[in-house]
Formats: sequence, C-alpha cells, structure tokens
Amino acid sequence: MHVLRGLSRRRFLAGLGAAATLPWWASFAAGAPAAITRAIPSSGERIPAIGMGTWITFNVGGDEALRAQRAEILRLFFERGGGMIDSSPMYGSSQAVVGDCLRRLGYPAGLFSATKVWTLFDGDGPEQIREARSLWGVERFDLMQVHNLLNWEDHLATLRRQKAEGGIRYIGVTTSHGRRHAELERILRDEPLDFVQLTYNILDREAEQRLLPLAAERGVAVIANRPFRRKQLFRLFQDKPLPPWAGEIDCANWAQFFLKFIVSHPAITCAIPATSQVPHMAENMGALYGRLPDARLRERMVRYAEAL
Amino acid sequence: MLPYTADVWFGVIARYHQAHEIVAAAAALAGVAALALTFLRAVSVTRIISALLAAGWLWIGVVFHYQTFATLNFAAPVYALLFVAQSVLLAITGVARGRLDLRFAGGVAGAGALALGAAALVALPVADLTAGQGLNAARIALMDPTPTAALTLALLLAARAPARHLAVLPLAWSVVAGTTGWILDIPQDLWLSVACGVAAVAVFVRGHATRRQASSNADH
Repeated sequence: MHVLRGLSRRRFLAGLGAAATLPWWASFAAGAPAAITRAIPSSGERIPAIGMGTWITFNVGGDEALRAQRAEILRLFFERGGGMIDSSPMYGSSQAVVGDCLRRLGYPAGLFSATKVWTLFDGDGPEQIREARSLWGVERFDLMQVHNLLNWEDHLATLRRQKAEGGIRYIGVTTSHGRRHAELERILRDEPLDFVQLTYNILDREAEQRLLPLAAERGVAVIANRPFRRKQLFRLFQDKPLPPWAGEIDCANWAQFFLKFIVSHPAITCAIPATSQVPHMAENMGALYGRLPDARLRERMVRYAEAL
Repeated sequence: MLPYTADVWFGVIARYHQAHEIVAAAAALAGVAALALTFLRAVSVTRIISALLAAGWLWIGVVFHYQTFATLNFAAPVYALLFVAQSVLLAITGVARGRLDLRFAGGVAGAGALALGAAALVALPVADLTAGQGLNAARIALMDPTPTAALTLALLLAARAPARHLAVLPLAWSVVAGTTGWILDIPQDLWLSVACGVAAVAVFVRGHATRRQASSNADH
C-alpha cells in the first residue's frame, strides 16, 4: 500500500489511461510500428502486405544516375518494412537493375524475391530462370510465376520440379488487366499453386466475384497488380479531396487510400505498386501501417470513389 | 504500353551516341551526302546512295536494336531483323544489281521529298534538342532508326524510278515509331511518322504509275 501513498484519484485515473494506450505507445517508443503482414496460406509464412512492382519503373538500362536513384527507392522500401519485389524478363533491364540495387544495399534480410518465366518455349524456361538468378544475384527465388499464363502448362511443370528440388520456394501464375480470368479460374481449381497474381484495385474489382473467393477456398495467396491502374487512379482523383473519414483508416493520401482498400480484402496477400519516385515510395509504404477498413468501410470507399 | 519511359529511351540513345561518337559524326555527314548526291546526274550516284543507306540500316539493326535497345525492349531483336533485311534489300537492289535510279526527279514529289529529308536531317534532331533531351540524344539519320526510315522514304520519293519494295520496311518502322511517339508523348515522332506514311503512299503511287508508263512504252 505504500506505493499508493500520495496518489490522488486524478493521477490514478490518468495512469490507467496511459496504461491502456501502452502497446501502441510502446511500439512507437521502440521506433518500429508493426507493419501489416499477411500469411501465405500454403506455408503460414507472413510477408508484408505492400510489396513493389518493377514494370517500367526499374527498366532504366545502364544509366548510372537512374540506377543510384532506384537504389534509394529500394532502400526506403526496405527501411519502411517492404518485402516482396516482383519483376519479369518482359520488363527489359528491370531484373538487372533490381539485382544491381540489391547488391548496393547488401541484400536486405526482408527481401522476398518474386519474378516470372516468360517464354513461348518450355525448353527456354530453365535457362530464363537461371539467367534471372544471375541478374538478381540470388541463389534461389522465393516465388517464380508463369507470366500472363504464357505456355503455363509446360512452365508449371518446370516450376514444380524446381520447387521439389528446392530451387524455388513458391510457384504461381499471373494475369493482368482483367484478362483471361476464366482460364485463371480453371487453373486455380485444377492446379496446386502457392500464388496467383491478378489485377485488383478500387475500380477494377471483377476478381471479387469468383477469383478471390476461389483463391481463399483453395488456400492460394493473391498478389494484386496494377493497384493504381498505372497512375490512372491518381489522374482521376488527384484534384479530389480525400474523404473526411480517411483518418479512420490512417490514410494521409490517395496512394494509401487505394492500397488499404486492396490489402484489406481478406483474400489479398500483397499489393505491388510500382514507382520511380522516392516520395511516392514513402506514400505507398504508409499503407503498411495503421488501421485497415472493415467490410462496411470498404463499401463506403467504393461508393466514394465511384461517386467522384 | 511500352516497358520504358521517354526519358529512359532518350538516355539509351544518348549513351549509344556517346559510345559511337565517330560513327555518329560519319552518319550525320553521310545523311546529308545521300540527299545531296541525288542532285548529281551520274547514274552511279544511285549505287553510292544505296550503299550509304544499306550501311545505315545494317548498323542500326545490329548495333542499335540488337546490342543496345534489346536491353530495354523485348521486341528489339525483331526490329533488328527488319533493319538487316532492309539493308540486304538495298544492297541487292541498289548496289549489286544497280536497279534503282535515285537521282532527283523534281516536281511535287521532289519538293515533298526535300521537305521530308530536311525533317529527318534537321527538324527531328532540333526537336529532340529543344525538347530538353540534350545534344547527345538528338537523333541522327543513318545512326538512329526513325530519321533513317524518314530519309530513306524521302530518297525513294525523290527518285526518278521509285522502288516500292524498298518503302515497305521504312513504312513499317514509321508505324512503330509513331505508336511509340503516341504512347511516350514524343510529338516529333508522331508527326514525322505521319509524314512518312504520306511519303510511302506517294512512293507506291508513283512507283505504280512509273511501272505502268514503262509497260505502256514497251508496248509501243
């Protein structure tokens, strides 16, 4: 009882209030607010819900100044808790640039390497994977995907073989722009996969009807590409105000609004926005923290976006 | 949608020019020479002009598309094949067989050809420069694909005997360049491609008319 001597009722209640906020306060005091992560259904491994794409943005060839700038973007990405980097042989020099940037950064521990096989000829698949490993400078990829379902039957067989041999951790397939959803649905039903990648954003929500529920049912992780419709969402909304209730989900800008809508869907594992600008990376990674909308607020977000 | 931005595209061109400075200077001179030679009367100038064009198309196919641009664009190896094919056509038709007559024909077609030639040799690099791409990225006929296609069509249009088969691949590249200009917002490429399209049509029309005239003369 001696510890309570001199403690007024007001002081006691203030102390109780402070204690109630302790976890949130403690995490900031520790300098590391908890990032939003999602479990990969096939393994239970958790990865950050915001990753990074490299279509166009990292295809800078041999330009040293641009490569250095991209390394800064990656540094910020990892600093803010990012994990998945997604690329493809189709993206020109992106894989080489990513590899160069990773070497400059010393291969951050949080890296989740994801790329694709993209060739018409199944015989070329293994060589393309080997080349990708060399470009990235990694011994094995976390995720290898069949890009845009190109010759998926043959390439999936290659990926399964390599996964069994330990050369790949996860396998998947991709589509984009809402194309070939019927075929993707058949693949999801019939083929054992760890990941699918498809287009899903606040305006392109077709995947909600069948693919996302099916992926959840089949225990397949989902990566959302084109989260901003290749900047089109910003062009549509940049002059419009954020809704006054955006603060309820800790959104300070449209990038976070769009990304939190995506990653709040229970079937989505990760969104992969691409950017070539450091300030935009900072905005994107802000979506990895704070509150996410529930189902009711998601509906409200859609209504708000469509009304604009 | 292309896998690169306009800035990256011009950055590649600038480094390509810097890596091959002597060739760039030679190409600039060769382009002007090719246009100037059309005003000479000697029949042999056609072989010289054809050789200059063939060398340019070959260089671009191998060094630019295959070795340089392919790092940015997965379609570049296909473009390389097209450019090498055009080089072979020029070499066979214009140099080996001497079946072209690229001497200046004058008239409306000649005037149009001079305008297109000036666009390829002067207007396009000036437009690149004024668009803020820097001197190194200012494109050069017989070194870079788009002004080379334009210069080739200009020479074919100015010719006394237009060779239609040699206009096909330059026209195809003009479509590619125009589409690229549209997507990447490079207006000078879009406008030059439109001009190339008009020139190609004129080459086909003049070539057809010349052939019919030649057949008619033969009948008589």
